[in-house]
Amino acid sequence: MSISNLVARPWLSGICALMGLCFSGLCTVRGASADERQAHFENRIRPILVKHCLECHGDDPSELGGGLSLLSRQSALSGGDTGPAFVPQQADSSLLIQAMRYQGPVQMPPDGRLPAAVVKDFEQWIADGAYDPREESLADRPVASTTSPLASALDHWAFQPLRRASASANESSTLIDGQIDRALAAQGLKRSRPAAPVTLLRRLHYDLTGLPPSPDLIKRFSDAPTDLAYQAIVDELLATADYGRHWGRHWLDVARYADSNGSDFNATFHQAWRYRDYVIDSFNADKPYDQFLAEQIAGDLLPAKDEVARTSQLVATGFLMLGPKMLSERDKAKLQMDVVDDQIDTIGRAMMGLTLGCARCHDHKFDPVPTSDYYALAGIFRSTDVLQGEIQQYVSDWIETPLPAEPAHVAAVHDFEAREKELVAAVKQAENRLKAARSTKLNDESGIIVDDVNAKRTGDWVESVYSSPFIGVGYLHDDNRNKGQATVTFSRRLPAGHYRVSVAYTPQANRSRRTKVEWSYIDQEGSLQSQKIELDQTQAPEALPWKKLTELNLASEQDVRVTFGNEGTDGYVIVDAVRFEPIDESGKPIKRGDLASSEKESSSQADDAKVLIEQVKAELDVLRETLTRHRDSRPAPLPMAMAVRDSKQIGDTFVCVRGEVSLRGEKVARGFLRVCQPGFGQDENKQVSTIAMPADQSGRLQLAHWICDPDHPLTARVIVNRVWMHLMGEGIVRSVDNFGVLGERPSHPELLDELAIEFLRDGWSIKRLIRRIVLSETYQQATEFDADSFRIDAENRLLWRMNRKRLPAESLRDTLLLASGELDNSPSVAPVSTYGTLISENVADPKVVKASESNRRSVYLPVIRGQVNDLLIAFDFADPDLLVGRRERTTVPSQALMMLNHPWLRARSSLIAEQLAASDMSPAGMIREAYARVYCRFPDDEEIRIMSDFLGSYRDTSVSEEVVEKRALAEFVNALVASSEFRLLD
Amino acid sequence: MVGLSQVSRDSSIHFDKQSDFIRIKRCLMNRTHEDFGGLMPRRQMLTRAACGFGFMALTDLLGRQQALAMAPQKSVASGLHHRAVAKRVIFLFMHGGPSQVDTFDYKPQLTRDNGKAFSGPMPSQIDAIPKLLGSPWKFKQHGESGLWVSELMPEVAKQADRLCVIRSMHSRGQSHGQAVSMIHTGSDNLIRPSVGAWVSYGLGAENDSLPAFVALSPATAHGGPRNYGAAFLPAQHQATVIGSNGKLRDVRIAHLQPSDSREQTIGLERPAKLALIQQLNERHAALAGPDQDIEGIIESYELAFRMQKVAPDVLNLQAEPEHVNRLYGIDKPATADFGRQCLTARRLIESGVRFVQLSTGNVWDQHSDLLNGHTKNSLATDRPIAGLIQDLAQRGLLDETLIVWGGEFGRTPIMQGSNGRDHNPQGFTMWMCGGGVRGGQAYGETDEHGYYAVHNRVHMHDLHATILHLLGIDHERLTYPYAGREFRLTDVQGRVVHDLIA
Repeated sequence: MSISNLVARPWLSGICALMGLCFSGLCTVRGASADERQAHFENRIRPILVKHCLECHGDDPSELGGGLSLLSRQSALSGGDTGPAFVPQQADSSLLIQAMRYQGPVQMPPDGRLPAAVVKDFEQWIADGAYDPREESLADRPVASTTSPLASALDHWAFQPLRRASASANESSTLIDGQIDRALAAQGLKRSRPAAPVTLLRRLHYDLTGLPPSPDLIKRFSDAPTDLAYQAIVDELLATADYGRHWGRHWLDVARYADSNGSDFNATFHQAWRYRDYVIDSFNADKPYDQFLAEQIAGDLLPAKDEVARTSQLVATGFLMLGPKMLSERDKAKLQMDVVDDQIDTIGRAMMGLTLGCARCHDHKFDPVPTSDYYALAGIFRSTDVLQGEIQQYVSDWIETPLPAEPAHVAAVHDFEAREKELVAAVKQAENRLKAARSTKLNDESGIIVDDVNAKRTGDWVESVYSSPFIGVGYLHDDNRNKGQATVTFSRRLPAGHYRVSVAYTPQANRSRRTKVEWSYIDQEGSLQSQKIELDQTQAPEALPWKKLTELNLASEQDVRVTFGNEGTDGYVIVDAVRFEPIDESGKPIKRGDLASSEKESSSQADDAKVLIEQVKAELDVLRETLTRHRDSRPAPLPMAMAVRDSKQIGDTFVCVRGEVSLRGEKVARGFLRVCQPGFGQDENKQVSTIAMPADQSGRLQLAHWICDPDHPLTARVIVNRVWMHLMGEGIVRSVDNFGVLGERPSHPELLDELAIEFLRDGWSIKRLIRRIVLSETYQQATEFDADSFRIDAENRLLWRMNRKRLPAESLRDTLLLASGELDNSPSVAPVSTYGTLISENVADPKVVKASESNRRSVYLPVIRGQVNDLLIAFDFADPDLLVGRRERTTVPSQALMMLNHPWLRARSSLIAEQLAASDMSPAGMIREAYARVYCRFPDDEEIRIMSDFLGSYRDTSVSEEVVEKRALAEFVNALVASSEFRLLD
Repeated sequence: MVGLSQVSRDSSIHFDKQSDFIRIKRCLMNRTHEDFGGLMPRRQMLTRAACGFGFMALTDLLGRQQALAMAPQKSVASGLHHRAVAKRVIFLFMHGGPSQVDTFDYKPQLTRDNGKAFSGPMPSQIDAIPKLLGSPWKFKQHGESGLWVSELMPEVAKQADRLCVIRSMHSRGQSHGQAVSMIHTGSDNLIRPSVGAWVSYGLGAENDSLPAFVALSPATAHGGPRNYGAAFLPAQHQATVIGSNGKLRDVRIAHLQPSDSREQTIGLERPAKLALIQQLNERHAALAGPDQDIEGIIESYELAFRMQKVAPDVLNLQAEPEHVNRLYGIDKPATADFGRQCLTARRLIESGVRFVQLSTGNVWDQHSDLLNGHTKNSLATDRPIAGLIQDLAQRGLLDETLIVWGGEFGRTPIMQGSNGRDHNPQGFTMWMCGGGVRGGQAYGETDEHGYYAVHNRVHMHDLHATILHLLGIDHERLTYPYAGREFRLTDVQGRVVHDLIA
């Protein structure tokens, strides 16, 4: 620290002199005088603060680390996010000291622990009352924002109640056109002319079903493109199953739907498909949107009218579980809060267009969402279970909930499981009997023998009879693996006396040279005696299989233990038996007659044992065989769902300061956002959070009711805007997932509110909303360019023309499957059932999964995180790790390369070409057919000429003419697919 | 080749891609007035940023503006926010976590205390036992700087005077998943853009015909594509991938050529078809009037065509002479694979790719059998890495190319099982080389046993901040709006460690 740095700070002027004064002599601090305290501060404390702390905790009051200023005693005592920096006289309970000791979650200073002596100085300083002469200046105080976003919340349009602007436009189809035209007229603009019938039909068909119109329908509609015909087609399309498959997918985008966890452990979501089907079915049934949301938040808590409803409501809550989770996070409290955050953030953006995630760490900087509101919601989700158990050590698993099932099915599974349990128990019992039989004492040995079957094992051991001789019915070896992981412990209570201890093994060259053997007992002084040796098992024992280990002299009855270990070994470790031979003072064996009587009887026992062993073994074989056969007859598993449930521990939770789970702030009562409460803003002082949370339920049901309240200012606006965006290309609010202060403003606020009100009146019906929009003239206008309008409104915010949209990735793929006659439009049941716990292993060279190779309609392809179908991903399919309200619209060369060279795309083109070539069509007929299948229109004469030229110019003398024709056709089809007309929706 | 008509190029096409628009606007705001000579870019200059590999990213745009303003001066090493010392990055990812105390962090006390009980604090939830395990490898001082390197890395040790070894790294994540995510994205639990994506977003590529960000043989484990993904950044900033799981395989960019080799032999086919596609596109454009999407598609085919011509040559390792193959160890089976990765990396950055990350695959995770595992992994990478450093130096590229070496964490000085080490994000070693770092130094310290970083600690956020700084980027100003707030690589943390910089 240079002097110039010091004097640059006004409050430090003159300190140098003080420091100089105090350098002489040691300061005794305990019971120190005022002078001594001052000297201690100036010598030992202030320099450290300046050098290590103030850069982040004082120099810039607007950017205080953790909100803590150490510029004065007052500021330190008023503290930061986690409370006061210190408690005078209590060093140990002072955060400052804990941080300096590097003991807690906060470790300071961040670039390295200060020397122990310095920490001690601070401890003494605090113990002595934390003398600090520095005065707080007002300028040093943290800058508090002058107006809290909460106070001015109602200034923001989205938090205001829905408003019906005028009574003029109640007629549903003119509602939209009237509003649009008014806004256009104000700028001197007007709508474009209607789109050509074939263009409109293609647009409508893709927008409503994700699939192209059939050539028949194209012909029918272009022959008679009346309003009536158009309306009939709209109603027809809304009634097809394809409608739900297309619009359900829009919701799956915001639900971050996937069939695997992704993240660090890409675990299979075996049951996620049920949620996918729930969404598709809900759209097809035109389930009221409020009910649709409520089921996803609290389907398990809602009353169900029957088992079918119960099933679908349970499945709906999968919405709360689909996020990618860092399952191997070892701090499970943090993992739980990460899951809670995913749930709050997803509900916030998907349903309310609010970015609540920001408030996890601090009050939302822009929107009226204080941290306490976030943790009010967090309490609800902390009281909800998602995770349970472990897939493997440290890696969390999640809940699967049984679904209602057919009674016969339940009974079959129940019977199966009961019988299985019975058989498993019988096998276990037989195994135990076998073990007992094998442990019978052996007759041809002297002394007390403990065989391996009676020893305690840890780790993996292999039972073997390969090398003779051995004691009992076999021996153990470690398979020369898992070194350091396996032990076998023999223990035996022995009367007082002298013993010779031996171990049994057979030698081989492949044996361990350093088998660890340790014996231990308590000696007469009560202290543990133990010794460890290394046994070279390649060497033959002196009295095969017995090798003398040691001699023991027990003064009293003792437990003696002998432990084998494979730690640090380099060959097979063999463990067979341990023998304790009583010996006399001179080391000679005491004759067996002198032993306790129980030991003498061993001879006949052993003969009996051998018979018994054979018997039990035969029994065991039969039982095992029966069990295997039984398991082969396992009935289909009972249906399960990825569904949440209320936790056993219901309660409020604490604020996590700066989002750190270990930094607990105040406890917050469960509740919702203050800003969207009924009555908010009417009375400044009134506590608006009035809904009492049940003590025995998480509060999700109440949350669902609050979100689905028709008076909630955001819910209806957000979904109406989403639907508008899918049909019109851009939302009335373009930031479809953010209606907050940082989001965009609506281009037509009155129209948005009118549509939302009509939507509510229609009973939250999405189909009616779609119908209303596509029947408007605004939707049906052309995309054509107009230079004058463009000059005034280049971004087409006022909709003087229809926006040109992208063909969604799924439609691109599905159209090709349809055109080649390959599309499999049937639902897929349990598409990832063949995968194990993990889709791909976290090993050096994992197997490659090909989960998405089929001709199914794209919505039915499994979405494997990290391995989504490459074609879909390349054309802006929603990233399943993120909530995607509005898909990216990228144009990159890799798409061009795929169009030219992707094997799947080329194969579809070739197949279509072969079908054309096999038909009896003329070249012009083939061209017309290809245009109809790919572009949904027929070519004009010039286009036929251009394509004929291309086909005619295509030559290759190395192959037959027939092959050339097919290749030329394939390239022509491929060119249509690759072109902008196919990839865009005019 | 059908080109874009002059008319459509000059028409003032509006910026459809909102996110890009915000990015440009944002970064323009972040630049001080003097940064680009007071010139505001014309709108149509921005148009192309919506397309391509991100090569028309910020700096490029602004750099061009600057070049216009200051002609005839060219090739200004202008960073985004300040002068860049490094132009590009090669990140050598040692997946699994190499042990610091067996490679670059010499701990004689650990050797002396081998086998003794460890009495210090242990992180919760680890499997290691509190017993110290000395390094089985000998350390020596190398070069004029006297940097300590173990006998595991004899070739890299010869480059000691060029290495800036950080022995006081610490990070978040006791498990691989979090730590791998942390080193790649600066977040241990959430989906965030990777370092390379941020660099691509901030700087773009130097070559119009190649991607800005390439990942060589990345692992599919521990997040896989997340670790080289763009997350919420525009998709063109994600890495182009070659190979997987530590294996480079046939060094090809997917779909650059038809996969069926028969089709490649037909001469007429491709150009004629490309011409047909562009003809269709032009007809569509003529009917539609000026349209950003159609223009974008037309241009993407031009770019794809250029890439088809350029990329195969860049990736053609056969073009290298024998002595270069030897330098990288491509002539020996043990080193051939990583050697090919290193050589490919050099060829890519030489051609203007901005950020190349290499991966050994998840091989460094020696919970047991440290001796064999680390010996094998070091052998596979030592010569290739040393070869890369030498080759770059010889070509005069090392000064402007930043090499970063390291794993997601280090390993414990205490033992797991009888002969392994557990994960250790509490203190570990990474090193940098070239690209404006101060070589021949070891920065920071762990404790006497090499367990915890204790002196001049460098958090992963700090390393990220420093890498961006070397590239001319202020880590606090390279931001992107998403989900209601401005995100950056270093979250709300990160300090540039100036002592690492020459």
